[in-house]
Amino acid sequence: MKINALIIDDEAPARALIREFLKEHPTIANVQECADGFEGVKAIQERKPDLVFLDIQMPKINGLEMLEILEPNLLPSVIFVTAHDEYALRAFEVNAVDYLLKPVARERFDTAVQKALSRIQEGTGNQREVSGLVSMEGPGPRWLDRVVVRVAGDIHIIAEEDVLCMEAQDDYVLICTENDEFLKKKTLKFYEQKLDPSAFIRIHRSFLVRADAIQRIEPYSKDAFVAILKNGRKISVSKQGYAGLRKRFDF
Amino acid sequence: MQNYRFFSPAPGFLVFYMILWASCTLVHYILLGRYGDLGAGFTDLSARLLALDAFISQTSLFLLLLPLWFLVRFRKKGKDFSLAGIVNALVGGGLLIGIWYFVMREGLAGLLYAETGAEGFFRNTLGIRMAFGFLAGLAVYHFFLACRLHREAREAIERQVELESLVQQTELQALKNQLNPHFIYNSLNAISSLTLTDAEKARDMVVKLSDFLRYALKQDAMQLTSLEKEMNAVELYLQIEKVRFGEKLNHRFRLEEHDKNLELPGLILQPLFENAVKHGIQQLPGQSGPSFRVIGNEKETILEVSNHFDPAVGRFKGEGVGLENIRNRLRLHYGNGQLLQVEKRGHEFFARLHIPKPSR
Repeated sequence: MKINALIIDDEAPARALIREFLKEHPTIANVQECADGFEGVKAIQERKPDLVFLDIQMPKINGLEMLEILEPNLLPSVIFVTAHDEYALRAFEVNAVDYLLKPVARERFDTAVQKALSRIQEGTGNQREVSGLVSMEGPGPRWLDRVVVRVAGDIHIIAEEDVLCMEAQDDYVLICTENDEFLKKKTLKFYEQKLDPSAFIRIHRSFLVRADAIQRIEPYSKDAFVAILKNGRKISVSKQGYAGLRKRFDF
Repeated sequence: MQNYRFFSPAPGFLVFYMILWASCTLVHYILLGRYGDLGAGFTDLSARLLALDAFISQTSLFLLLLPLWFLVRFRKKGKDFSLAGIVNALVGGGLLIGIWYFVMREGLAGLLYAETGAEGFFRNTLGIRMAFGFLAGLAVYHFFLACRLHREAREAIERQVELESLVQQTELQALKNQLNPHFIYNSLNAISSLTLTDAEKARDMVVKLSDFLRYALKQDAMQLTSLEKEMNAVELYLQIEKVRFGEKLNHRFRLEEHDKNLELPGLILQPLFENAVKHGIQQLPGQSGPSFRVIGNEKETILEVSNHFDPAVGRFKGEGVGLENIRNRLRLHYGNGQLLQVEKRGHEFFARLHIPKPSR
């Protein structure tokens, strides 16, 4: 079985080291390189590698964000190779094969590759485990500062401060900015936990909203209200949501 | 820890107080022996009786004086000669003397001397008893004052030590935070790679990294370094980054001769260059480099680090910690946290350090 591998790292020497280490693994025949996350996404879609060596801190979008925007059926086996130890928990949440710390020891590298190869041969390499089993809590940035989405091949980076509201739509979350909307395969619960709670408030089973984007709140029916955002968008407010808003804004 | 010492005067307080008490008892005994013949007829008083007299008088006095410590301890400074203070002292002193007199009269005259029929001896020696009691009280008062001063001095020293260690901890932490560990790990990883592909370059990078670390670790949190040395470290840093990121990074600085000796806290410019690389140059396609300028006026020297950045990705949080750290260090050195200013103008980011000129 011939294995295709892809190295995604913004540092040429780091890529060269992995390439050098891979020479000891003849089953991995085809090794390619990318220098940033955008290139990485494109390369994974086009070449469908079996195994990816992925750095986390990279320009534009980081390694974890990269995996987020890939279709699940395209997810390769991933070995993270990074100098940061604070992302380990999140890395295993996306079902990474292994998490190597730079500088990388050859023995440690070989073990990781063996593990990946056996996973690929068993055919369990690119199955994503049920997410949410591993807690996302851990050191590292406390709150999300941006959301990366992909629309028809284009990658958009939405700054946290540009997000006006989020709406749950089945398996997806609709992310609304001033003038745009993006769909992302995530749960609203995820964002409720990962976005700064002093900025965002859950006002309905299906809505998470930026508190200072709300311009007006009007009664809608007996127990329901409607919030009007600064871009004119109207979203539902449930009874509990209204209570939460009253507490937040003290009215 | 502060609490259990709240009332305790000074180490060895009780020992000194006992010594003072013993000395006064002895003097009391000698005085009685000397003037015991006042008003003849009492010369047959035994030494045992006089010793008992001295013991009872001085013990009662010293027990009565003990609470005086709290007055001394909690008296506010500078209130010594206020009217209220004097009235308090007179009333307190009078009360004390009254109680002491009562104890002596009942104990000595009423019990001790009544048996031998020598009540007159007590009356005759009352003046000298009172005079000596006053002197003893004065001695105790001054002893308490000394304890208070000692206590205050000790507290001042403790506060000073505490403050110094706090400052040192803060500074050490600040300095430690300046040195980005990921930079070190990534550089070591690059070196590890170069040992396989280009041993000469690996050796060169080891030397540069060592020189940089030597400079960084040598920085004494309290001391200043020269701009020339700091810029040498920046140069080393950028050359290491260049090995990691390749020709993308392109820079050229020239330092004027008269700026080289400018004094500034060590490792305070380098993080600004690190930011420029991380949030600017690294995110941009093509070659670019940080720029550096020195602008001087009569009040201060402004060191400006600027870089181009991509507004689409370069405006996220995460650069705050490093800048905050620099501000803290500037505050420690110059007592002013406003000496670092940043500005975003179009596609350019400016960080300006305002180093005050030493006043002469």
